[in-house]
Amino acid sequence: MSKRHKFETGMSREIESHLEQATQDYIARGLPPEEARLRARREFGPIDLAKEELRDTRRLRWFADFLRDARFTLRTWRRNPAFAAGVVAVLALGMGSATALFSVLDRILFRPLPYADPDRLVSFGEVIPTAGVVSPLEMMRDRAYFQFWKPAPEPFQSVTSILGRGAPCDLTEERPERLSCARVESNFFDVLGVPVLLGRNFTAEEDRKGAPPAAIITHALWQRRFGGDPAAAGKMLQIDGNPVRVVGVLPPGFESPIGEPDLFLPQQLRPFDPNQNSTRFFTTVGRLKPGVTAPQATAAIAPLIDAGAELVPQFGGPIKARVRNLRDLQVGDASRTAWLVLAASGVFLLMVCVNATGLLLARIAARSREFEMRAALGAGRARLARLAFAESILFAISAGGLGVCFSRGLLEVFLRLAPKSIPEIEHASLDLRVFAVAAVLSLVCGVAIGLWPALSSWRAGSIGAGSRSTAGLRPRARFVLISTQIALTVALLGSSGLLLHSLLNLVRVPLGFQSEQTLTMAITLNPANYPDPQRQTALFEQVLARIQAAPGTIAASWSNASPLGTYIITTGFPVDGAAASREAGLLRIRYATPGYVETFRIPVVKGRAFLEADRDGPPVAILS
Amino acid sequence: MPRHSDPAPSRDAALLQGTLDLLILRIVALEPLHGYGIVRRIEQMSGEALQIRQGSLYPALYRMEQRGLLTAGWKTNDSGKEAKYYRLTKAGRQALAEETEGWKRLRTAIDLVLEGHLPGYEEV
Repeated sequence: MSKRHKFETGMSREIESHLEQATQDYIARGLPPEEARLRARREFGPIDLAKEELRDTRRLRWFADFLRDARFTLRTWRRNPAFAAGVVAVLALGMGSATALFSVLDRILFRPLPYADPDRLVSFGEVIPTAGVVSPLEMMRDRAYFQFWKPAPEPFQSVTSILGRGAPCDLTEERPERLSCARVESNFFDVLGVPVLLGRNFTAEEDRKGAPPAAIITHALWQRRFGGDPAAAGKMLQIDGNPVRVVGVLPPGFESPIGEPDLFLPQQLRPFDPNQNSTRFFTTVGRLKPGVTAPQATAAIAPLIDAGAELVPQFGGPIKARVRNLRDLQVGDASRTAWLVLAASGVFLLMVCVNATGLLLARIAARSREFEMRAALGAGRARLARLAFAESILFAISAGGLGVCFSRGLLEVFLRLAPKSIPEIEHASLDLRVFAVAAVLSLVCGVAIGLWPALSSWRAGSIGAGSRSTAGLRPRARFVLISTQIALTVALLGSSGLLLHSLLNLVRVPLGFQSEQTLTMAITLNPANYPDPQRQTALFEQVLARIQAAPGTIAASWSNASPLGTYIITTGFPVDGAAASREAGLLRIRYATPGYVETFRIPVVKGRAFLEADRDGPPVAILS
Repeated sequence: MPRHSDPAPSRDAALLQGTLDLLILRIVALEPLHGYGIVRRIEQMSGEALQIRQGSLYPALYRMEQRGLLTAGWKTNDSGKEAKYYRLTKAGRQALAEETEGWKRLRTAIDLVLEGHLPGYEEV
């Protein structure tokens, strides 16, 4: 900016001085001063035009110089292709992996969620202590929700709820399909600020018990089932054997704050029956009033959370209020890991840059004679430095291009290898946003690897002809460079080693059962075909009998959950007239058929395992 | 003293492009000079035959300065006024020698064409 200012004032001054001299000349020749000035002006021609032309020489020069340097650099690469290919390959490796990782992590860390004004959307609720295990999700119990939260108290503008992550449901018509159906409140999409692409939103009437079933489907399901037919809204789908009317289609790119449902149904929980026995757990989403922060909101809702806890006082420990933004709800703990991975790839990129800098410096040292020659022939130091700089920028640009191609391949591999539990990974792709980051990355790398070589060639340029001093890689510089590289490598190796170690520990931790040679499978029954317990039990028994009869089977059993898997939470119950339920807290229970303990080879410390006779006998349980 | 105050036709400018640089190099080689002085000197030395469009002089000077043929600095002249003086660099001196050589070759070649004969053809 100041350089430009200097240029402008210098130019104006020069033109002014020119006009002044011409005027003096004419006065000396006898013209009256006024006329002399006019004459000088006229002869000079339009001043603004002249200035513009002068500015052009400056602008074009910068680019023209770069092109010339680039052409020159390409010629030197052709003379030494192995070196150039080496540097480009090293840089491309670093940039490619950083780009690929960024495209995966972008969704988890940075990209705004596809809702209107997403910063004001939070998930809020109570964190329940569950028999020693803290539930990872903040939840809301239906009773408390309808009593306290439905009117959307301060600091909320509006609140809505969704039941769980979406339950399996079946499309029972031609081309049957297993779907995930989520039950939401009728204002769910309004609170998120997501307009339907087609059709309409749920009405409050559809949210009442007994209303004709309605559904809003995702864009993907619309494409799959209706081929993107604009007349799909209003058509019927058979869900679990019942006709359901599709009333709306969601826009592409919609993401549910929790789970990945294909289809949304109204909850139909109201009018709420206060006498009902079971408790449903909601995920509650609130839109905060403008300007309210999450900590403020947490403080504001705490009293109501406490009041809600009093309603159903069966928990073993204190309930805590929690408010967090929807991204944290959606990705959970993944964001910490994501930052870690991002930092690691940053360190890797830094290593790559240090490596490339070393290569370039070595090269400048090898070319120091050439630089001295150029300096002797009158090339300015700045000019020489720029030549070195142009080379590194060119390296970075070519490596950036190659890196993007490389990252495409890498991303494919990531997507194949990555566990499904990484949130949103299937949406990771190389789009404009990622390309922009890659471009910025390669420029930053170019500057980073170019700075030192440019400075060093600056020194080379300043050394007079005949001087035998070698510029470029001095022993101390080499030491700094190499030690940086080693330090980074050790840090990266160390941290990945630690990660691997903790992973191994996880694998080795005793589970209390034997997972070797044990297979699990899960089935979900369609309520249309298996409407009553008798028929369900018949199927289970039949399958179990066949599995037990299969050669190689030692033991087999049914349970509603596998070890480490899900469980049903129930509030405590008095044990033989002992202490009140309050102290028992929440219990996690699983139901199992006889053989469960044997199948997983869980040691029974005291007492006995389930017997066939227990099926019809008095209720029994095995405690953990 | 008639001069062009409007932009010269582009054909002239193109023709002059290379030559103007050569003239400037030559003039500045005699002694460091400012822009207006260069214009006047070219006019005087060419017997008022060459008229330099003043607007095109400065872009040429700037380009040559950027190419390292000239250096420039502000100085106070005889009459006590400040002006930007252009001075030839080592590279500029070399360029002057080369371009003078080139110009001479070009002139000889053009002269040969203009004054030469082809056997069997009558002079027009």
